[in-house]
Amino acid sequence: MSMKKLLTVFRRGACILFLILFFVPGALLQAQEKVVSGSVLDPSGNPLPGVQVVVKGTNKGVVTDAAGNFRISVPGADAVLQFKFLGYQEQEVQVGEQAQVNITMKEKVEELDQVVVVGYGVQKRSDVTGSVASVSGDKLTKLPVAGIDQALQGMAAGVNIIPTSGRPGSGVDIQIRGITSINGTNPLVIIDGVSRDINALSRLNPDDIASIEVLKDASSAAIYGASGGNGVILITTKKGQSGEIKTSFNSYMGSEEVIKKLDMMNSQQWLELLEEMSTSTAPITTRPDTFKTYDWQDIVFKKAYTRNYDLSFNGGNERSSFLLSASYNKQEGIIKKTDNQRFTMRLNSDHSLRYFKISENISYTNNIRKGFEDWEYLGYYQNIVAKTLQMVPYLPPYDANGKWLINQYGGGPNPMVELDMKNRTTKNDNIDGNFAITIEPVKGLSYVSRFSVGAGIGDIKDFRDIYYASATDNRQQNELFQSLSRSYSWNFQNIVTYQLTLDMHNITLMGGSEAFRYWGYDLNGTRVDFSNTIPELLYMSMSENDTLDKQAIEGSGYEGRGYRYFGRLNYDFKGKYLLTVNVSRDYATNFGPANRAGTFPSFSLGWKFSEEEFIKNLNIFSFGKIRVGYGETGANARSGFPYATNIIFPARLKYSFDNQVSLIGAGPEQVANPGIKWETVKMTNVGLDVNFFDNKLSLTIEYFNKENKDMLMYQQVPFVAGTFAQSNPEVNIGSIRNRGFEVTAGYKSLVGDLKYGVDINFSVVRNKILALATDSILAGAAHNVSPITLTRIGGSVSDYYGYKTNGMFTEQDLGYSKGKLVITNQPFTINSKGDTIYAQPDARPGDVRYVDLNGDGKITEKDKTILGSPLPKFTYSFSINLEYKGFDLSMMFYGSYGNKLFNGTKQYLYYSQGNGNRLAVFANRYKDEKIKQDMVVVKENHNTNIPRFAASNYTRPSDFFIEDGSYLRLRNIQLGYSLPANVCKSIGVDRLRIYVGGKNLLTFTKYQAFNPEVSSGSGGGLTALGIDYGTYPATKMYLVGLNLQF
Amino acid sequence: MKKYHSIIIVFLLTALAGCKEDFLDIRPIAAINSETFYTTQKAGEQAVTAIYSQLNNVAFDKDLIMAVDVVSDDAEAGGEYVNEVPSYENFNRMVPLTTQGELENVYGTLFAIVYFSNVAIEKLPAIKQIDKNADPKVIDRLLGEAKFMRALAYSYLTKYFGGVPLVDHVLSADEYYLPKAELKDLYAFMEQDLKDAIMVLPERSAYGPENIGRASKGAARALMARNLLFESSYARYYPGDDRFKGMTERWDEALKYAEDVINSGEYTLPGINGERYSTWRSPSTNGYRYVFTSNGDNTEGIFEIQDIVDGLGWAQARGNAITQYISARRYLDENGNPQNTDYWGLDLPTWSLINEFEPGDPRLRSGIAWDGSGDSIEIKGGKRYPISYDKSVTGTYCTKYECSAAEFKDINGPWHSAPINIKLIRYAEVLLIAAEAAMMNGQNDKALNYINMVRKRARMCGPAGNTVPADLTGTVTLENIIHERRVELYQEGHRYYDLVRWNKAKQYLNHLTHDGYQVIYESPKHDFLPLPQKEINANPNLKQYPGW
Repeated sequence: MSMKKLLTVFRRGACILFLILFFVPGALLQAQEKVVSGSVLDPSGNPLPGVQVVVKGTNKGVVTDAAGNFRISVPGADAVLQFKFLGYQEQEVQVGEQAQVNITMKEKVEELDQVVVVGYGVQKRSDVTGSVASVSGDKLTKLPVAGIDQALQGMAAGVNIIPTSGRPGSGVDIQIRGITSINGTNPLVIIDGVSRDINALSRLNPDDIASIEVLKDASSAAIYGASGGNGVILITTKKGQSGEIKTSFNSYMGSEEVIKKLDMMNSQQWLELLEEMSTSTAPITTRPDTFKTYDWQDIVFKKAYTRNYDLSFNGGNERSSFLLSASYNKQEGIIKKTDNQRFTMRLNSDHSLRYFKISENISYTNNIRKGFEDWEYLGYYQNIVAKTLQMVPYLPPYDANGKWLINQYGGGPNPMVELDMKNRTTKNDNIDGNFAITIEPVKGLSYVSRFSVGAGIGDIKDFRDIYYASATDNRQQNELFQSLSRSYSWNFQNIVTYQLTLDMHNITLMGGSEAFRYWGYDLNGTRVDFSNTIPELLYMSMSENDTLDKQAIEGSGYEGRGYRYFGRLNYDFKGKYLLTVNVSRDYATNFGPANRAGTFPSFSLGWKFSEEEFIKNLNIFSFGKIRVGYGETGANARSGFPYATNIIFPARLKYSFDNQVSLIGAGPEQVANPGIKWETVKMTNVGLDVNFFDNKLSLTIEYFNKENKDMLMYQQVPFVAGTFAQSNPEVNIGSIRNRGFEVTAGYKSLVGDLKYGVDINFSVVRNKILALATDSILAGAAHNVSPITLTRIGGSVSDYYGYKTNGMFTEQDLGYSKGKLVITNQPFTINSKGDTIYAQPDARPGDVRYVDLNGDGKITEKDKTILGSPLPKFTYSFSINLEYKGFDLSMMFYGSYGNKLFNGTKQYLYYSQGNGNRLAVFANRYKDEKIKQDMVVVKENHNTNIPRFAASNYTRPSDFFIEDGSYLRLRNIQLGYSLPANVCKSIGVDRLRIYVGGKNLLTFTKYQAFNPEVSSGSGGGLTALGIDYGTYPATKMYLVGLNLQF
Repeated sequence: MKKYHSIIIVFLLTALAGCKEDFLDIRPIAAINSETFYTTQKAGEQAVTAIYSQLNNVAFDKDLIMAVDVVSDDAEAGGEYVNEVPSYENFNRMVPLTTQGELENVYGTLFAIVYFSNVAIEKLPAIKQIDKNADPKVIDRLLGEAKFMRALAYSYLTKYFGGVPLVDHVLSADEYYLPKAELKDLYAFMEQDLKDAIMVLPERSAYGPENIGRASKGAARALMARNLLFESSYARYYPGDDRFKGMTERWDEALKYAEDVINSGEYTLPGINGERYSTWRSPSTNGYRYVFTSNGDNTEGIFEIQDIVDGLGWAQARGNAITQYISARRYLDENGNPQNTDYWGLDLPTWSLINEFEPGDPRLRSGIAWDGSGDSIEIKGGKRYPISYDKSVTGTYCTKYECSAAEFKDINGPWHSAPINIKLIRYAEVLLIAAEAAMMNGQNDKALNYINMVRKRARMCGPAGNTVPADLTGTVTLENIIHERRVELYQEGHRYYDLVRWNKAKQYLNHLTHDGYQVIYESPKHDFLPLPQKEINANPNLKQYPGW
């Protein structure tokens, strides 16, 4: 059936449904009113004030008073009362003939009976046989982060989140169970059942989230077939609750600053270095002791303020409920012109009638980013942080006239020039809508049809004005760059679920189809010469330059389509033996006609051994389950057409037939591989879930083995293919294995009025390259050191690769060779003429001693070795939650252990090119005395372990720059106080909590540069991990906030 | 319950109903794909331009010509000291490593030419049908050019590497791993391409000046003659050798194709009547030297690598690399102190080559300088200075590829952007092919006539009244041909493979280098260059020659 026909069927179906709804009589029998009263107690027998008591199916409700008592009138004996209170299980009581209803609330037992969202459906937590981590929305809202992506860090074992930079609004790299592919690790993001791009995570208001589920293994992710290979993040937004309309208002304000500053040289130390570098025989004219020292980190880094407001309304009756929310978040950057602000609105509603339910989610996000973009922090050369650190210490930013001061001794630019001149605004508007009809014609059978759309508008305006800072740092002609982009998508799903119980057999069958299309385009251009630069006049029409070659206009577009059929069987026997089988058949335009389809199966088995009599008799476990699963998924299908060959017109295909002009030549961009297909990820998962002590202690241990079999790579093929000086074809040859285990443990209990809970998670992943289409991949660069990393078969992704060092040469290593004083205490060879050739022939005392690993008497490429891995040996987090009377305290620590980092900051702050400033420790480098015109301009310093200033010491990749990147960080701490219920009542609110807290307040690490959390984005993707350029520094934040419900 | 069954069925059908496969049939957006691009004459022209463009690959020309020149007894690797450029010294000593970049560059670029030719040959015929405005004659000509270029690439591949894989179409992923082909099949393949090209290509004069660098009928015939000369030589001098099995002596045909070129009236030898030319070098440049200081505008060039300075960056530069590599490295400044010229002075002519010239042959001074020859060189700034030999291990330099400073060094061109065309086929070679083929065919008159045309031009390049080289008389011998080819075509990449085809390499190439290294020529090992190691690694079906 074509899409068009399918839509027609859907439209007809919808019409019929509305007709049925219209004619179904909404009979509500009028019955005799009666009054019921009662009291509500907590599990320890104390009265519980503030409990919502609602007559089911109406919006009539009351709240218990300070003594836990209530009084309510009900329609009759049939009426059912619902008791709701945060942190307790919801209870229902049929009134019947009772006039007094006394009830004891039960603590919510975490997880077991909780329903978790899985692909295209839900399942009871205790029945899950795959690996699914859940995070409830309450937990997330305790974190003062603008985006849900950052909040996830440490929340689930095996889910590793690394912020791209500390800049407000910057993205994150998400790795679920290791690095599955060098082509990307981003998981599939599903919001309310519909797949959205990864950026949708940062568009969400965290306050709107009801729960997040992470499908970690292939047996649970295989239902998403070709898109599930990197794991799946399922996000469910909050729904309205029946009852009278409740208003909730949350807000916090915070102040941010850099966690750490680097200790830089003062002006005197810097000038001494200048003297050391100088070849002039005269000392530098200005005397160093006359110079002040300015701390440029203090000049550029500032205190930044954050404000966040969430306002939401929810309510409804038995038939209809809604949630309407709006939020505003404004986060200043600790560097000028890096602010980010976001406004969101959401309307979620549900309307049900007998067999039918109509649901709708619609959200709008507006995001405005001012100034710098993320990529401007990720390279060394554009990086404003690198410029700040290297700015000469003797200058303040401006002179008395407010003009930028420029280093008279050469060296880097004044960073304030770029900071002052940046005038860019990036705006994004996104609307996502999601409309669903659920039909339950008969018990056990449900049918969901969901149609969703997404639309986005991107808008960039960048005005680059004329300025003059110096002969090399200026702009003579102003220009305006504007860019507009639009993106669209739709997604149509139809899912049938049938649940059947036959004797001791429980069967759930689910099947369905999904089709999607996404497309978009952009248009951007530049014009120059704007005489009037007030913002209102910065439009293309105001350009005074009509010259055609001064106008640039560009644009592009893209489209992708696909569909899938999927099915799932859940079977359990006696509620003890569980089986899940998933299969997905995917079709997509990413690949050539021969490989457009792929089938992705999975199965998993579970045994709830705690249900067995002989286990029950042991009286050890309150719950126990063993799970085993296997599945196949696909990964890293890109939009575009990698199977087809693009035709390109590069200069290297030009030729001149007349020795005058070159004609344009055209040819295939690369040798195409029509056989290209999805990467196939195969994963086995074994898990054990056990609870002890009446479910107070829960423990999950999981082991997984994940192998990407068909990783996409460029392969060196024979030149007969035509590949000389041309791109090689992309093939499915690489293979990466990730193996590991995860432990998640939680304990919660109460002692008197003190409720406490501890959660720990711990995860180990071992990454190993099993196959590559090339011998190895060398990558990574930090200023003037390259390559830094090696990815090779048998190793793990992105190992550091370089020379081992063994301290420094000293005077003791000197000796005479051919009458010259040279370093003789080092390896050497003897050439054909009988001369001794030393491994480091130009070495002097104060130079790094590189290790001649292969013992051939030379320092060559062959002496390079693996110097460690940027991948952690394990990551862990633990959180503590305490509640006492109205007080609550929560803390979350996150740590990483055993990972190494390449300290690129050290590299360029010891040996940058030019006269920029250096780290203060470098003042203690090995120095020889230097005298100019009877003045000691460089003092001798031989008693040190820091090598002398020389290129050979600082431009080779070596273990000199490799540092332990382990850290433990207090991600979040919060101390709150909730007003007692009676006080709340007296001021007319349901709940009022105020809190103070902080983010990243403590970091324990030996790492020397700004931040041990280094994103994979710095310098070459996933084969160049852990190279720290000194990107936008991480920040700590102090905040105060309030939660209010009425 | 029953009534629900139908509902369930309807739902299931709806849920499982999908899309037709054509839902996925979308075309690439905002990019031209190989399926949609080749539909216009313009696209066809651009596809053919891309074939030629490979000739300008970084350093391809110097690796094609200098590497094999250094292997021969005509030149030493050079450098300021022995082994300054190890890869060249390895060639010089006939011990190149299979991993040397020169091998990859020549092999890879030639197969890139084959690839781009195959793309054009596959796409051009359809363009004739699709593009209503296409000129069928132009399409045919473009097809002829592509076939010429494919044959040219194979001509060098077979000469240098022997029986390489035969690639007659754009390979798909499962076809990359081709074994070697028989030489006779490769020669037959080239012959067919060249016959097709001769049919459709216009003569050089029929191209306007804007297309003078394209393959012409004359170029295709000349290449055919050269190939036939090789085929005949292999058959003649390697009887019973399996490598050349199925090849026959076809001297008459070689003569015929060479004479087609000679009789076409398209080409002459500049300077044969004593003409002098005004060039950057001198207002009265002799004819032989003029050929190497001029581009497509001389009447001797049959097929040249077009080289221009176009200001493009390193990998894109469209000029030659030989000038930079080969021109004299040192000069004497105003005070008589040696200074660097900014050229590298590699591929130094040997004294054995200098001694081959008959005393007074003007061709010697037209392309070789030695300590005492009194030559000067133009370096940056346009001024000429005496060449200094203080860093030349042989005391010689090649001056054939010098180029005007104003067009190259003064404008800071990248090292491989010298604007002098590299003459791959020139008229003098065709005359010598004709002479050799006629001699082998027993037509001594013709042989004498053709060899003497070359000698006459050489003679006329000298000062008035010059008598050397004098016309040959009597019977032309192979020794005459060997001598004439050496002194006429030196430093142009011919000598080594001439010696191989005559099966005389062992006789000439077992020699001492200037520093006393004994070069040992082993046959069959040295008859062809080793295949690049990278190619052997990438293709399990391709076997390296024994001994490498």
